[in-house]
Amino acid sequence: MRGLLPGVAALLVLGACAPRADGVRVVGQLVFEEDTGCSTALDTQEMSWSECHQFKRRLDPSIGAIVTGNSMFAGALRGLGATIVLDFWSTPVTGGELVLCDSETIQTDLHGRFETRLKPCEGLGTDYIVTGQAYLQFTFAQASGDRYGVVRGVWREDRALDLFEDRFGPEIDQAHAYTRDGKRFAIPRFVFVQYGALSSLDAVGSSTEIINLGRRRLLDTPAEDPFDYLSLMLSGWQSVLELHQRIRNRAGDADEYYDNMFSSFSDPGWDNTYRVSFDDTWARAGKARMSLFRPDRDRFEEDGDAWDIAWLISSVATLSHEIGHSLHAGYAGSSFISSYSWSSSYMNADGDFYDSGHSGSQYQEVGVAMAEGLASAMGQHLQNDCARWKSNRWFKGGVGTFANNMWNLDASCDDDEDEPECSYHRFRYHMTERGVVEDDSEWDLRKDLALGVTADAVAAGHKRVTSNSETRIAQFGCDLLDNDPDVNHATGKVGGQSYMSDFTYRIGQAFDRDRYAAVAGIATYDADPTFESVHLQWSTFLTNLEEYCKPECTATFPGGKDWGTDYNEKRLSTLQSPIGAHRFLTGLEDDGYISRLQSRELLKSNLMEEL
Amino acid sequence: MRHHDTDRPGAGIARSGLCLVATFGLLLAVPAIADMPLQDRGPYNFRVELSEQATEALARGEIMRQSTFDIWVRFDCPTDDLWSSDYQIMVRAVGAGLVAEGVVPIDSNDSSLEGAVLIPVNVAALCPEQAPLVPVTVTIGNGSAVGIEAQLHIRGQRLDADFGSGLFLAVDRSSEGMQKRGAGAFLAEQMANYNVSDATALRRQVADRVDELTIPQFDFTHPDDQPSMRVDLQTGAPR
Repeated sequence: MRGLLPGVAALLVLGACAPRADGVRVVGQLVFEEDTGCSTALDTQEMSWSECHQFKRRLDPSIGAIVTGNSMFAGALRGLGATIVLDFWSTPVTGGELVLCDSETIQTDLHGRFETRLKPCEGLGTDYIVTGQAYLQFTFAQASGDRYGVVRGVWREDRALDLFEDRFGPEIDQAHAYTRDGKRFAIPRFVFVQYGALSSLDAVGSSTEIINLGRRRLLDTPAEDPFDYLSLMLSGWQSVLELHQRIRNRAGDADEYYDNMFSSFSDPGWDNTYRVSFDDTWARAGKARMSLFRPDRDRFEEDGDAWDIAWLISSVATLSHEIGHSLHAGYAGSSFISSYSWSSSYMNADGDFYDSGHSGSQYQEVGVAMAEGLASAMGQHLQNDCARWKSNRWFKGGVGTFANNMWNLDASCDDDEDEPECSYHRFRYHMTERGVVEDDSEWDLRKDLALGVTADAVAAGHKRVTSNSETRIAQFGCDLLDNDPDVNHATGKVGGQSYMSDFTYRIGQAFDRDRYAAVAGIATYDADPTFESVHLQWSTFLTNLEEYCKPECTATFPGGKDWGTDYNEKRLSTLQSPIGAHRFLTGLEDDGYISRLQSRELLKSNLMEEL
Repeated sequence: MRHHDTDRPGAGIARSGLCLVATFGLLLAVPAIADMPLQDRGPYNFRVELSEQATEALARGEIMRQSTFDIWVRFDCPTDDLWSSDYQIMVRAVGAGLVAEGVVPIDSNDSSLEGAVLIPVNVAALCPEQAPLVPVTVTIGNGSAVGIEAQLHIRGQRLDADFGSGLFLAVDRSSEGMQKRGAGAFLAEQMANYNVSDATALRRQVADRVDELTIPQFDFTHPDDQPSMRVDLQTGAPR
C-alpha cells in the first residue's frame, strides 16, 4: 500500500465507497507536544527511548519525520487519532450569508494525518472557510470492513465545566452526549478553522489545488489549564489507541479482537465500543472499558500539585496495565476472578473500616495476584514484548525480612487513626467478618495461630518466596511470554533455600481455625534454576487463560467474602486453587505446550512455590 | 481494577524528569533565539477580543453590517529582552465586504492586503504592563460574517508560520445584527475556535499553532496501520 495516499488507500481497502474525484483535496494532521518517557508495567524492565518513541509515534516537529533516536527528543510531537467532521463554507461573491457547501466525517490515521475531498459550491466565490471538529473517537476496522470497534473517550460535563470554566459556554452537543444517573457525559472535542482562497474553481466546483490544513498543534497555548489536564488526557488517549493497535496486530485483525475488546453499551448508538471514561478517582479497567482520572478541580487544588495524581492519566505503565485487565476480562473472562477484601480491607481500633487498594508488597488472594499480575505482564508485552529485563533484576513482591510480612499482626500501629495499613487492623477486619469478638478467647486463639504461621516461616528461613503477589506474577507472566532464557538473577539465591509453601493459605487457615498444622509445608529448593525456556505465543497464552480454570471457576466458586475452608483452598492456596499460577502451568503441560521440567525451572527462577 | 497508591512504577522519576526538561528549555531559550531565523521564533501568545463596549453592543444586537467597533489584540509579553520597537501586529479580517482600519498608522507596504492592517507595536514600551492591549477599529461591510485574526510580524515578515488568533462574528438572520451565533450550526463552530466552546468542545481563545505540512509527509507508512478513512460520526462505522 506504500505510495498510495492514506485516504485513497482506506477507501480501496475498505471497499465501502468509491472515492469522490470531484471537489478539492484536503489534507492535514492533528498533533500535540509530548516528549516524556515511558514508564513500564514491570519495575524490573526498561523501555528504551527508541521503544518509547516508537510506542508514542513521535514526530520531529521541524521536519515532520518519525523520531528514531535513542535519547530524549525535547519538543517532540505526537499525532492525535480522532474522528473529524470537516465542513466547507463559501461566501457568495455578491455578499450574503455563508453557505455550507460540503461536510465530511473522516478519521485520522494513528499519526493524526487525515485526507479527504470536499466539494465547494458551484457558482460561489473562491474564498472558503474550512472548519474541523475533532472528537476523541477512533474506529478500528477489519481490512474487509466487515467488523469494526469504536474507541470512545468520554468525560462528565459538569466536571469538565468546573475545571475549564473559562473555556466553555452553555451549549451542549446532544448527538455525542448521554445521561447516566442524572449526569451528562460527552466526548471531548477540539475545534479548528482555516480561512483561504482557491485560485480558481471550474464550473462544477472542482479544483486541482490542495487545501493543506497544516500540522495543527492542539494545546499549543498553555492558557487556562493550570493542571495541564488536557495534555495528559490527549497523551493517555493516544496511548490507549496505540495499545489497541498492538492488540489488533497480535490478533491478526481477527474476529476475536472485535468480539473481545468491544461491547455494546446501553447508551444509544454505542454499539461495538471500547469506552475510555475520564471520570475516575484512580484508574481501572474491565471488559471493553477503562476509566482514568477525572477533571477534578477540588482534588487538584486540594493537593496543591495536580501532578501528584494526574500522572495516572498518561502513565504508559498504568495504561498498559489497565488494558491488560481489558484483555483478561475480554479474552478470558472465566478466570477474571478476584477477591480484594482479603488483603485490602482494614478495621482500626475505633471500629472504622478502611481500604488500601492492592499493591505489590501484599500477600494476596490468588485471583488478585493473577488478575493484577497478568495485567502487568500483558501490558508489558504490548509495550516491548517483555524484553529488556533490567540487569539487576530482582524478585519483586513479598518482603525480604519475613518477620515484617503484612500478616505478622504487628499491633504497634493499632492506635494510629490515620489509615496506616496496620497489620493488626487487617486482623481485626477478618475477625469481625467472622463474628469473633475482640479479646475473646477465640480471638486470642486465632491470633496465636496466625502469629505461629509467621514464626514457623521465619524459623524455616523463608525469604520472599510467594505466588500470592501481583508483582511476582507479573514477572512470571512476562517469563511465559518473553523469549529471554536468562536466569542469572536467580544464581545463588534459590538452591538450598527453605521456605513455607502456601504461606498465605496457612494464614487463612489460622484465621478460620481451619486444620492448621504447625510447621507444615516447609520445603527446600534443591538447586538454582539453570534455564527458563518457556515462550508462549500470544494467542496460546490468552486461550489457556480462558480455559485453565474450567470447570471449577465457572461452576460454584466461593464469593469474595465467603471465608472458610472452601475460600482458603480455592482462593488462597496457589497449589490447590483452580485459578492459581500452578494450575495455569499444569494446564499448559496437559496441552503439551511445556514440560514439567520447564514449569519447575520457571517457578524456581521466580522464587515461587515448586510443583 | 484499582491501583494502590504505592504501586506507581516510575512516577517519581517521570515527575522529576519533567521539571528538568522545563528548566533546560528555559536556559536554552535566550541564547538560542538571537540566532534563530525569524520564522522559527515563537510561539507568541495572542488573543483577539472584542472591547467591552463592543461586547455589550453585540449582546444588544447593535453591531450590524456597516458597523464600526473596536477589538483588542492582547498579547503576552516575551520573557526575553530581544523585543524592540520594530515589531508589528497584523490584523487581518476575512469576510464578504469587510473593511478593517487600524487606529494607528497603516503600513503602506501592506495596503494591498484587503481587510488587513499592519500595526507597529513598541513592545519594549508596552510590556511593563502585563498582557497589554492594542486597540483596532474594524468596520464591517455587507458580508454576513467576519473572521478577524492577528499575526505577529517583524520587518514585514510573518513569524512562526500560521500562528495567530482571532474571533468570528456572523449576522443573525432575524435581527441582522452581528452576533456570535445565529446563522446555523456553522457559527457555533466558528465560535468554538476563537472564543470559548460548548461543553463538549474546547474553545481555544488562542488559535492552535499550525505548522507547515508537506504532502510527502504522508508517505511514511506503518504496514499494520489503517489509513485515514471515512466513518460515520454517530456509530463509528466505516463508510
